[in-house]
Amino acid sequence: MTETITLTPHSSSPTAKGFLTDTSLCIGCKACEVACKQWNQLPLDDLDWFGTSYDNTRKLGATTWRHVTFAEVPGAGGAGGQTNWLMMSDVCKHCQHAGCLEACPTGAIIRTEFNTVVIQQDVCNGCGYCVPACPYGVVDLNVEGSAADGKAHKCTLCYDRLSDGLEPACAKACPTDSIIFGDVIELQERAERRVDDLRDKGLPAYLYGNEEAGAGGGIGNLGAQFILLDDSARYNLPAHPSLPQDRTFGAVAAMAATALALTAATAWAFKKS
Amino acid sequence: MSDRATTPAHPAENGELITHNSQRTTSDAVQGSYYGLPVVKAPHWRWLVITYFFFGALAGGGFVVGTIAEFFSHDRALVRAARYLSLAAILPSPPLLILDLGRPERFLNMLRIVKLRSPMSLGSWALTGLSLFSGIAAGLQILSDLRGRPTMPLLSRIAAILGMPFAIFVCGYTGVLLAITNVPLWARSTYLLGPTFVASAFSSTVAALSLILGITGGEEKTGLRLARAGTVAVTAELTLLMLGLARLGKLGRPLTAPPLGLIFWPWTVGLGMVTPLIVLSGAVRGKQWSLRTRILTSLLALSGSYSLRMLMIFAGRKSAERPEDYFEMTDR
Ligand code: SF4
Repeated sequence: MTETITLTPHSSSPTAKGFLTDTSLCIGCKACEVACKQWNQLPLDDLDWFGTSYDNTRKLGATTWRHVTFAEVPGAGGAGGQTNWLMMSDVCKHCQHAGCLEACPTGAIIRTEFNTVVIQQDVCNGCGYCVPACPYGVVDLNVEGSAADGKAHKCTLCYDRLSDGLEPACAKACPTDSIIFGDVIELQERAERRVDDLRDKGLPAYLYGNEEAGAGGGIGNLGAQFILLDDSARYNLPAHPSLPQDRTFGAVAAMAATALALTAATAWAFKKS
Repeated sequence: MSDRATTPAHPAENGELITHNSQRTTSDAVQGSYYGLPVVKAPHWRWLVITYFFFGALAGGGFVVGTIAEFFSHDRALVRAARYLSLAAILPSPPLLILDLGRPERFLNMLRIVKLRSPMSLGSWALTGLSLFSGIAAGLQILSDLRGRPTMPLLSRIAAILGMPFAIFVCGYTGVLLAITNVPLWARSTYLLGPTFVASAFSSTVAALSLILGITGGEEKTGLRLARAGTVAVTAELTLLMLGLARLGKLGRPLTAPPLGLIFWPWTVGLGMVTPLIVLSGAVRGKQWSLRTRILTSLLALSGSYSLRMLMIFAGRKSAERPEDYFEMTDR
């Protein structure tokens, strides 16, 4: 295991590792969710049927690092208004410029030598500021239940397995290769070929996770990209999110300018008479 | 596992629930969202952080107003009250913030790194800096009061100036902290939330000083000075808040529509801003105001500033739960 930490955030660098999740191949078996929980020793979620779909985890969270969405779309897929299932295994995007990492005041969230984004559990103090900083609602504090430790958690892209030359547990377990792991650059090329294939077959496939769709806006490219078959909102993914910290300077400047103006006005109010 | 399997009343077997939810499925699918489930997550912050936001504003505001009074008014009573206010408000701040952490014993990790693009990191440092300078200024004030003559006036003035950047930051960074997130209600009004919080810090500080000096019987001139400063600050606060709401449009509804709107309009805006503005501007124009009116107005303004912070946090939580708002914000 190497101790090197790359501080330059660039998930398109030759060493960047990531996922490609091809939703056209997903059969909704949830092997990825189970494998993730087993390998990372995450406790059982409060499973229940919600009466809306076969989705019984509903969101990514502190103890759910892979989440399979089941969107039932009536009339989609052509064929006489037949109901279509859109299934997708969601995960931390390991952003090129990550909101969670930039928000973290303790430096607990780091970019690893694989260009992935990992929370160092021995540094996190549970301030919770990374939670609203993630444009995809991925990271969460573990404050409820028996395993509550008050700290922020999310997918580590199986940092421990990568360090030992293994692929992440979810990619290993996926029986259809809907989830594949590899070098981000290679995965991107592969995704483009696959999107072309699917389009030739008449499916409205596209790649989610670059400037055109799913990232950009200061986020750059995603380390975990997706091939989607419908509007990203159907998978609960934003179309054009942005990196909040790109607004920090402007917001601080506006705040300081107001404070100076009010300081001058108050000085006038005190001095007069 | 076993009690899960033997639980008889499984929600899916409940006819009503299925009807309700399957209706929801259809309508949400039509709108193109994922069963109306939230996309982004709000922070866990509640009362501890809300209360800190309030005290932080007074701590920063007290220091700023103290420095202004020191250099522009020669009103010793005003300077003294402002410095004591700043110190009194800063004392509970770190405990409130530390208790809110998931791992309070690790609070010092906030100070192991400086991150210029993280308002949380900058705020932690600003609060640390302000504690130092506010401590010096108030400490010297205590010594002066005990000895009956100024103690190290030069040092006190230097501290008053050096502490200003930290104090100004503490006044307003809480608004920036909320703005630099993906919560639609906070993020959409990025460049107005910090200014609104700054103006609110000025108005609540002036209200607190007016209250303190009213009760302890300060000069009449001090009261007039504060009324004038208060009029300016509340006008700015109200204007910036309304500009922010205009900028938010539909995304502002978690704050302005019921249920929170039922608190926001009458209390935060009506009692907390408009009423003090009417009374203060009257006092500036030379209208007589009784001590009772002065105390009551100050309390209203302070409660308005507390409720503004409270409602901003709770409305942000609601905003994050609305996928349609986030999709609208990220729809380019
Ligand atoms: S998807 Fe969210 S949690 Fe994952 S790296 Fe990006 S900002 Fe961080």
